[in-house]
Amino acid sequence: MPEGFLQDHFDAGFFGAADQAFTDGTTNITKLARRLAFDPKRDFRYADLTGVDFSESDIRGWDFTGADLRGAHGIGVKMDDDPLIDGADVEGSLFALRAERRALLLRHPELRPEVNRRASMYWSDAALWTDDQLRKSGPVTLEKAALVRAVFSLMTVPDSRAAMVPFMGRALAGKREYHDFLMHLFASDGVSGHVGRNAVMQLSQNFRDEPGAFGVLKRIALDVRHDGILRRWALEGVLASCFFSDAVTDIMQASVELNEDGRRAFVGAFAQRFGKEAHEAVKSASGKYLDLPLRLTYDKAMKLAEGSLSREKREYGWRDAPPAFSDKRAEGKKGRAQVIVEHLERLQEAGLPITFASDIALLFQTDEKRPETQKRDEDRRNTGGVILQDLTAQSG
Amino acid sequence: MPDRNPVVDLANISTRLMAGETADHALKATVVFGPGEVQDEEGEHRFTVVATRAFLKVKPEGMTTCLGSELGNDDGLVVAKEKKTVKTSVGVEGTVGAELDLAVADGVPIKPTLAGSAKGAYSAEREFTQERSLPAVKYRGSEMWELCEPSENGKERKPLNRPLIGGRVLLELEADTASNRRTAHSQLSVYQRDLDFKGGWLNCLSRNQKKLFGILAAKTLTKEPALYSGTVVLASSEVGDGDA
Repeated sequence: MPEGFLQDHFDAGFFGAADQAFTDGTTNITKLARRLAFDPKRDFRYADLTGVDFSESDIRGWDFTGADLRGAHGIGVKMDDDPLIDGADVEGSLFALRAERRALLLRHPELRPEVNRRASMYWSDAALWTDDQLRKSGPVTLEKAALVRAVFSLMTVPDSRAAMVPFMGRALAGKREYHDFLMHLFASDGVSGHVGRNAVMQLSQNFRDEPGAFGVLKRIALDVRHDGILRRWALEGVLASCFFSDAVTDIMQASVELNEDGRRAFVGAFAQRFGKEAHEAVKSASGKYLDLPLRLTYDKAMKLAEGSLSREKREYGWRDAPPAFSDKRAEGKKGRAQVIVEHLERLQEAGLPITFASDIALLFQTDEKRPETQKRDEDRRNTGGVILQDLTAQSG
Repeated sequence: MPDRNPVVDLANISTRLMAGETADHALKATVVFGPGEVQDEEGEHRFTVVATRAFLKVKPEGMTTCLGSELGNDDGLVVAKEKKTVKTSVGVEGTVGAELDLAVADGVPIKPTLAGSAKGAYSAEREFTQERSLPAVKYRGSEMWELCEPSENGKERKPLNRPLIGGRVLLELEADTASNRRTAHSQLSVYQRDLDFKGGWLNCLSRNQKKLFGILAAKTLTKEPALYSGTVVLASSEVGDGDA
């Protein structure tokens, strides 16, 4: 082992292998591991796998001993009932419920036969047993709740698992338990059916600021194979999450696959990060957010300004509230259009895909040359009386 | 035996075996960390690597460790102190009131009213400061030390980017009379999860790709990638009593 620098260890072959593995944008962990010729029994030990998405991967037999798996998540993951996670950090991950079961059975080895037996129950028995544990047989103790969670985490038959779900609320006293339960549910059963829908809604409303839950929501929002309502709920969670910035690039790449409502909501959330004024600038005349891809013309900018002014008058006119824009120019229609365009330019620089028509420059010219359409409209408005007189004269 | 530092910019170690003050030998060590930079010939792929935690393991041969002599118990290693000030206040507030009614006979009712109130308040404020040592070098037992920058929140680790231990005595050793070969082998290693990869090129990769790239890079740093098992030996050093 000669004395050397880090640089000396990385040759063209290393970068070639990396390029070859990553070039087509595949993110499936199983595929990537295979391409890189990883040995799943050794190479993931003590690995940094925080926030990794295991969706649609087969990680059976993989050794995660000592790995950092915080926030690791996935939808439809093939995994072992008892994964190799000794010494691993599994907080908020798809492994958390399994890890909890392991800890419980280490503390109470006498429960192992019962957990194993219950885990293979027929669906009707599963429902009755869960109901009995959590409702009929007295108050729910921590031990009882932990036992039910342990059985659920080991249950391999999807029908039996689904039969337990409606009763599980009582076994999930804390927010952490609920989150881990949902992460387990997504990994085992995906998002199909009524249970999946409720789970997405719960995740979107209550857990969107958890890294693992955010990963699941992002995955659902951008995957066209899921139905529209599910994707909308998921997208709402993504847009309102504190991790929204992490998803901007992915959402923009997938924006063509989002529906109109989704695209508009994304524009609103994107602008909100740049303050109140930028948020106001992306509102259309009707008050909705602008759609992508956006091409801004002179006429459109003036309409935005008109809409913004009337909104301001409607919403704030009657009370002593600050104006929507602090810039003095924004008091007039043209000035407001200028301010709006400047905000949109800043958003464009930040990555929002906006294009400006060439006539937008006219907004900033002192000797204004109005576009033909607007000129015609205004001329018509101004000469309306004359035309009416002519018509009266003709009819007379 | 020379020190072996294959990634000298990322981490390097140097050890010396000296005559001890209270024992036959004293093993002194210096460990230096820094960011390592990598780029390909075209300059398209560029990234930096830093370690956020490392382990130093010493294996003495022909010598026995003097218990209690291990570095990590002395105050000299304190690199940061966490100060926490807690203020508590106790307040008591009360009102006392009195009213007096007098009625005199002979048909003349007199009803003077006397009312009074007293308000008292007492408050006390106590302040105490709690100091906690946050050492960067922690002895973990079995001749092993954990090297890790103290962090405020205790969650995110800071990169190791400075000399640590600084030539101090790691441990003192007694020579085994039965053995004629006395050496101390020191090894500095990191877990893959404690290597932090950053760089503009990596930002183009998805999170999954970035994480697997980290494993690929760690395997590349290993002497025998086929035997890689999540740990990378960054540096090692071997000294014998003949070198003293």
